[in-house]
Amino acid sequence: MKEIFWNTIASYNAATWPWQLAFIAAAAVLTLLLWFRPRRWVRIAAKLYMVIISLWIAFVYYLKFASAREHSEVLAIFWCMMALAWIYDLVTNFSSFSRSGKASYWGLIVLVLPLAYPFISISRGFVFPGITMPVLPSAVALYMLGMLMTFNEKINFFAYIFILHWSIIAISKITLFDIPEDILLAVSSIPAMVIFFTRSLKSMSGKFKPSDKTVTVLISAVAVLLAGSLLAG
Amino acid sequence: MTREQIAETADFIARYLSYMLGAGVHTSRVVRNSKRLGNALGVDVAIHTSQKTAMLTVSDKDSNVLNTRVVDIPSFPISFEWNADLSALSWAAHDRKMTLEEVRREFDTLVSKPGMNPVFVLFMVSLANASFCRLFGGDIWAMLVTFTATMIGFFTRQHLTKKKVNHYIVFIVSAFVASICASTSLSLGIPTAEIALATSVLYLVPGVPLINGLIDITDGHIQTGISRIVNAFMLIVCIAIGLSITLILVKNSLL
Amino acid sequence: MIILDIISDGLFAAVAAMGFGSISGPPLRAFPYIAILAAAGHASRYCLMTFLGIDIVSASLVAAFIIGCGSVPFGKKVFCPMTVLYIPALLPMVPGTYAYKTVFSLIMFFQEISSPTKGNEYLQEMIFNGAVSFSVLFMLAVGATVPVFLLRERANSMTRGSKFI
Repeated sequence: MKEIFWNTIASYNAATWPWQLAFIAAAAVLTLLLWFRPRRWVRIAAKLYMVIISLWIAFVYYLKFASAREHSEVLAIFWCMMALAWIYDLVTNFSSFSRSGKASYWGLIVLVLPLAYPFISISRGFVFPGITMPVLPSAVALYMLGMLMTFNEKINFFAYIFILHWSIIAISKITLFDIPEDILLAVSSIPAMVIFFTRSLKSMSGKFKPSDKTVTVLISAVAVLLAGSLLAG
Repeated sequence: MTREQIAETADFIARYLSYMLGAGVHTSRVVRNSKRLGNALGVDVAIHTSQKTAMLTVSDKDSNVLNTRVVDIPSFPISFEWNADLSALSWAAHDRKMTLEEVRREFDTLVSKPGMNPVFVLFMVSLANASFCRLFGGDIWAMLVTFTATMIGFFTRQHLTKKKVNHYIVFIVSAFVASICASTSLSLGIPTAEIALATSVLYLVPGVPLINGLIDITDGHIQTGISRIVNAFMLIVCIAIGLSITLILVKNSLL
Repeated sequence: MIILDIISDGLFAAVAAMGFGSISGPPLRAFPYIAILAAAGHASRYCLMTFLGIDIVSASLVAAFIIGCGSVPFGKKVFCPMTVLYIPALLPMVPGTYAYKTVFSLIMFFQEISSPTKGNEYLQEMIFNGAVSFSVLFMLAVGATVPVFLLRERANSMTRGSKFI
C-alpha cells in the first residue's frame, strides 16, 4: 500500500512537473497581487485559481495518477466539493479576500510552508520524482489555509472546514504512508480554527448567549482535544 | 369587561399561543398555559390547534361577549427557553395578578432575549455527533472524521437556513455534504469508516419534533401529534435522500 | 473495566445530549441537569442491554422512565418544565440509525424492485427497522411522560414562582 502511494506520487511528479511549476508561479503572482494591489478582478482570479487547482487535484491527481489506490474516487469527489465551495464563494461573493488584523503575518508563514515540502522530502533522503511537491493535496490545502489566514477580513468558512477535515484525513496518513510532511497542515489548521472562530465571534458579539468568553473557552478546549487525539492516534 | 378589552386580551393570548406553538412546545402544555393565562386575565379560553393554524375563542365570564381568532402559527426555531419562560409567565400572571399591560411587557422582554450563539451551537453539535459516533462503536479516527464532517454539514445548514432556503432542500444538501465528507474516511482503510458514514448525518434527525409528536399522542392530541410525526418523517426522508446520493456516488465501487 | 465502559458511555451520552439539545436553545441553567439526566439514562440503558440482555425497546422504556423521574426534582430546582429537561436528555437515545435504515431500505427496495429476492430482503429490513425505531421512540415518550401522569398537579407547576423572569 505504501509502495503504491509513493509510486503514484512519483509518476505524478514525473509527468506533470512543468504544470506544477506553472501552478506555483500563478499562485505566487496572485498572492503578491492580492497583497500589494487588491482589485476586484484579482480577487475573482484568486477564487478561480482555487477552483481550478481543486479540480486539478480531483481529476488529474486522484482520478488519473492515483487511481491505483483504493477509494481514490472518494477523495476526488471530496476535492470536487472543495471546488464547489470556492465556486459558491465566487458566485455569492461570500468571502472578501482582503487583508485585516494581526493574523496576516502568520498567514504569510503558512503561505511559504508548501514550498518547504520538497525540501523536507529531500532532507529525508528521497530523490525526485519520488518526493512531495507543492501541488499535492495537503500542500494545496496548506496554501489555501495560508490564503485564508492572510486575507482574513471575511473568510470562506466552507473552504476552511473542508481544509480542517482534510488535515484530519492527512494526519492519519502520516503513519500509514510514511509522509511526515503533512504534520505541517495539522499544526497550522488547528490554531487557525481558534483564530477564525473567535474572530467571527467578535463580529457578532453581544446578541447571543452564552457569553463570548465561554464560547472561546469551548473552542480552545475543542482545539486542544483535537490536537491531543491526533497525537494519541 | 368591555368589548375592546376582551378583543385586546384575545389578541394577546392569540400571540402567546402562536409563539408557544411556533417554538415547538407540545400541545397540551400550550393549551393549559393559555387557559391559565386567560384565567389570570379574567377570561375563559377555548382552543383548537392544528399544524399550521390555531383557533381560539375568548369569552368573558360574566357577560356573554365572545371573541374568536384564527391565527397562523409562525415557524420559529425550536426554543426550550421560550417554553420555560412563557410557562413561567403564565404562572406569574396567575399568582401575581398582573394586568394585561404588565404581562404584555414581560412577554416582549422574554421573547427578545438573546438566542444561542451559532458558533457555540456549531461546536456543541459537532462534539455531540462525535460522541454519538463513539456510542455506536466508532474509534478515535471515526470520531475525528465525524467531528469535522458534522461541522461542515451543520455550517451548511446554518448558512442555508439564514438564506431562507426551503428546509427540505437544506436537509438534503447538509446530509449530502456531511456524508460526502465522512466518506473520505473510507480511504483511510479503517474498519469503522462505515460507522462514521452512518453517524455523520444523525445530527439532522429531528428528535425534538418526534418526541413532541409522541407526547402529544399520549396526551390525547392525536391529530397534532400525528402531523408533527409526519413532518419529522419528511425530514428523515430528506436526510435519507442526501445520504443515498453519497452512497450511490461512493458505494458503486464498494458494493 | 466494566465501570469504565459505563462511565464513558454516560459521559459521551451527556455530551451528545447537550450538543443536540443546544440546537433547540434550552436555558443555560438547564445544561448541567440535561447532562446528568442523559448520562444516567443512557448508562442505565447500556447496563440493561449488555449485562441483563434486555431488548432495546424495554431498556429504552426503563431509561426514559428514569430520565422522566429525574426531571421532576431538577425541573423544580431550575424552574423549567419537565419537557425542557427530558427531551434533550432523550435525544441520544432517539433511534436515528434505525429510522435512517428504514428509509434507506425503502430507497434500496425501489432500486432492486425488479429482483424478487433482493427486493424482498430490503422490504423485510424496512419493516424490521421501522418497527424497532417506532417502538423505541414510542417507549421513550411514554417512559418519560409516565411521571407526568403520576404527579399531575406537581408536574405541571414546575415553573411556578420562577425567579428567572
